[in-house]
Amino acid sequence: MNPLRRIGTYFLLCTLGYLSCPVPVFPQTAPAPAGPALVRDGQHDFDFNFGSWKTHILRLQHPLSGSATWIELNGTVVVRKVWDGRGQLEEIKADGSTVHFEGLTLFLYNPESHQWSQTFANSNDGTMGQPAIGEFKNGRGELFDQESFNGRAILVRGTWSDITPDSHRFEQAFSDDGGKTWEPNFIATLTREKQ
Amino acid sequence: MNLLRHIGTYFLLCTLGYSSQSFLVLSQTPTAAMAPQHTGTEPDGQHDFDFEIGTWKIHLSRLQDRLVGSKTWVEFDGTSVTRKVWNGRANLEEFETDSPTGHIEGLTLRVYNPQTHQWSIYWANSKDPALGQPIQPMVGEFKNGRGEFYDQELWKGRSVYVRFIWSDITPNSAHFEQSYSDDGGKTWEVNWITNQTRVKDESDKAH
Repeated sequence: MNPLRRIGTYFLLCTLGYLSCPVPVFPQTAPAPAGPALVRDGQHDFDFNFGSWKTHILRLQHPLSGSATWIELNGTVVVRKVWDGRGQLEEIKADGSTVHFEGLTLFLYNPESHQWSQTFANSNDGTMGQPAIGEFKNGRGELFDQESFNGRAILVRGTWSDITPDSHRFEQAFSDDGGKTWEPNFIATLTREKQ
Repeated sequence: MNLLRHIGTYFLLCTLGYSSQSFLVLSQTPTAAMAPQHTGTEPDGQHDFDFEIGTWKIHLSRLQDRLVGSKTWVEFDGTSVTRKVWNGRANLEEFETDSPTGHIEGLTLRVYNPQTHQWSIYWANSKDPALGQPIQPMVGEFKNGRGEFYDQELWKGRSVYVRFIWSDITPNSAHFEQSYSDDGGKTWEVNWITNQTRVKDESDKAH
């Protein structure tokens, strides 16, 4: 295992611990602000995702390079409840003509901030990534984070949309200009597996 | 000299050491390693913060509360002194302002990454209850004389995007804004504005 990765993980955990303290430097109040958008309980917003799915994935081969070469994968996704629904664990297996892709995603709801986090690990490195954090509004979920891509800090957006009982769509996009423009690089269309 | 400052600086430096290994090694795209590397044609931004070297009179307007629709601004006045580090590839700013109701003493370390052509900006407030903890850097760059820097932080427990903008840069003045976004960068609320005027023509040659 790459020691840098380990160090990275260690610092991620430190950072997470740190994040549990308020980051901004000015006096903080413990209770969350009572803005109307913050009151809504989003605990069940990911319920649609439970179950077994067929997934069709398009992945941009070289994000943020101007390339338009997409790789196609097909596979399965199984999502199980954690903590009676306040969390969930997703397992993804997909194959393309030259690639095998195996991932897992942990989804956790924070009832204090009313935000979901989505943390992904690829079996290639077995390491949890940076969580994307956000919420659902009008049936559409958007989760965001900041990551390093080719060494540069960029913004990352995950969007859950087109949600019906038996299908939905997930898209990941990168922004290299602070969210002014987004380039999708991973698009999954999911269809429920009939029992 | 304030001991907290010492501690703050120490941790800033630790954080820097840490950040030199990208803390986000865990890109979600397994293709990262295959992606094309930078071509070297990007402009060198190493001197983009040179304008900031020197001594400044600062006027700060700070929004009283954030992301709650507040329209109340608190006005501060003070000074800021920025010194070159590593012959300009980094700089250190000491910031001190006062209002009738408060005193802000801050420290900013800015470091240029010649590989990514991005600046990282670390800010510490001497009264921060988390002073000495690892600091999240703002990261970004200048384009056409305007600098934009971003990170993701917690505000009252919620994850938000934070943006710095440097603009209106002349030899003797500059404008700075901090904004928060609670919707992934679609809308931004400005909560901290500084306008600065050079007090002394301190040479930017000073090291």
